[in-house]
Amino acid sequence: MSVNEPAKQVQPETAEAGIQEKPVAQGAPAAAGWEPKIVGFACNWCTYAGADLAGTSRIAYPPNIRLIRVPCSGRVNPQFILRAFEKGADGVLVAGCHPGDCHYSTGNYFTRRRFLLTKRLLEYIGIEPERFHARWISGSEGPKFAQVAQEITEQVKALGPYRKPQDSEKTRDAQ
Amino acid sequence: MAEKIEGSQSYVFYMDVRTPGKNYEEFYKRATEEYGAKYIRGRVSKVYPQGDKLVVRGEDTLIGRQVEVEADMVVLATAMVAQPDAAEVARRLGFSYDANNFFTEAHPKLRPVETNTGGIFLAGACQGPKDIPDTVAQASAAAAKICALFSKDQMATDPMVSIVDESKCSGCLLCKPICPYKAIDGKKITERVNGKVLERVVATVNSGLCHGCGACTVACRPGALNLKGFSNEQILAEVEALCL
Ligand SMILES: Cc1cc2nc3c(=O)[nH]c(=O)nc-3n(C[C@H](O)[C@H](O)[C@H](O)COP(=O)(O)OP(=O)(O)OC[C@H]3O[C@@H](n4cnc5c(N)ncnc54)[C@H](O)[C@@H]3O)c2cc1C
Ligand code: SF4
Ligand code: SF4
Ligand code: FES
Repeated sequence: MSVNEPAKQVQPETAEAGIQEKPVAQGAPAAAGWEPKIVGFACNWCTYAGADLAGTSRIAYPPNIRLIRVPCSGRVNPQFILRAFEKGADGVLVAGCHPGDCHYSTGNYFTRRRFLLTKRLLEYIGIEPERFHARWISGSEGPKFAQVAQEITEQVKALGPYRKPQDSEKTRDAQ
Repeated sequence: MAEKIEGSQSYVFYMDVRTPGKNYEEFYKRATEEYGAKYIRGRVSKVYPQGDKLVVRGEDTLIGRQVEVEADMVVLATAMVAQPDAAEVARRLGFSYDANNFFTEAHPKLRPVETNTGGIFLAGACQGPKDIPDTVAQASAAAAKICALFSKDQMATDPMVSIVDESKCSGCLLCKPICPYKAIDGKKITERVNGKVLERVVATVNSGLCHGCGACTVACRPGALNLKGFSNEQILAEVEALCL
């Protein structure tokens, strides 16, 4: 990122417009006023600081992302991701330091490998893998954090609410 | 200037005059009122030689007119930038830096001279542009912090370390190669099972070496490893609360 690059401001109006243009890909048609819930796991040393910077630089990003601070992205057990979906999250983000920059040297390499496996596991159990993202955001990348939050929120909005298997069974029984 | 060279006249082209800090406003006032320095609001468009002088051409935006100053000496106030290798140094030592490659302190208000990496402290312009008084204040604080560190026989570390639930640990030691600090090792324990005394291997974490990254906790299949302060239960409770 260049030093003089101005912080990107997310304009709420354009964000809304962008979302409305995109068709709801699948799942139940999103109820009016539906907002996705996205659980973000942020590593303490990079992404959490980046999110902080986004805040202190007054960069707006969608409030759909709710952050959980973890010491390192390598702390994130795939079990946490499954639990989030089970409890009603529509998307999950795992974010940490750039490869090579992990505060604990190697944590994010594990994250990267687990990410690929977790994506396949999600696919296998019937959760669209597009609901799950991993990103590298350093402590100096406040604008990038806001941009990632924006991108993921838009993607998950386009996918529609995540329906748990039991939800779809319920609707099937009702029919 | 007028203090050093009698009869000299100085001009300062500026966009904003900012005088943060004690006595800076007084300094600015003294320069303009006592020594008659002329402050011209506007940018310089050109500096060119004319005879043995330098001509500075710019605009005075307050009166909306071009101005030219014939000067004997021109001083350009350039921006203070970080060392070109600053980011590389921060990366090697494992602490963070900001978008302008200045090192970031562990907390802007409460830990202003420490980095995120234990034992590394910040003082001076590496942390951000500053003047001599601020540099000296920060350097003194850093020195005091270091003295405090060395004044103790024992070092206090973060309580967030991994622990092994020996009753769940199968002794597979899959966690051992994961640890970047070689904090995990196997140890023999003796147990009484159905009246028989059994010896088996379980993992043990050296709390002095463990940095609390939590990578090992994910690798443990029976879930015997947990990280204090960021335990599975705590994080799952957070997940559940956020999903409500
Ligand atoms: C032109 C100018 C005029 C100024 N005038 C004033 C003034 O009038 N009043 C005022 O209060 N402040 C003034 N300042 C600001 C003041 O100079 C700085 O705030 C102060 O010098 C900062 O001190 P420091 O110790 O942080 O950095 P420095 O004094 O720059 O010391 C850093 C040291 O680290 C060394 N170093 C760098 N990289 C490495 C490396 N990789 N390995 C080993 N060593 C390394 C450098 O060689 C240097 O010796 C001025 C600054 C400038 C540039
Ligand atoms: S703590 Fe877990 S991974 Fe480590 S030896 Fe015990 S069972 Fe194996
Ligand atoms: S938490 Fe990290 S540093 Fe501590 S024992 Fe586990 S892998 Fe090693
Ligand atoms: S500390 Fe940030 S990913 Fe490991």
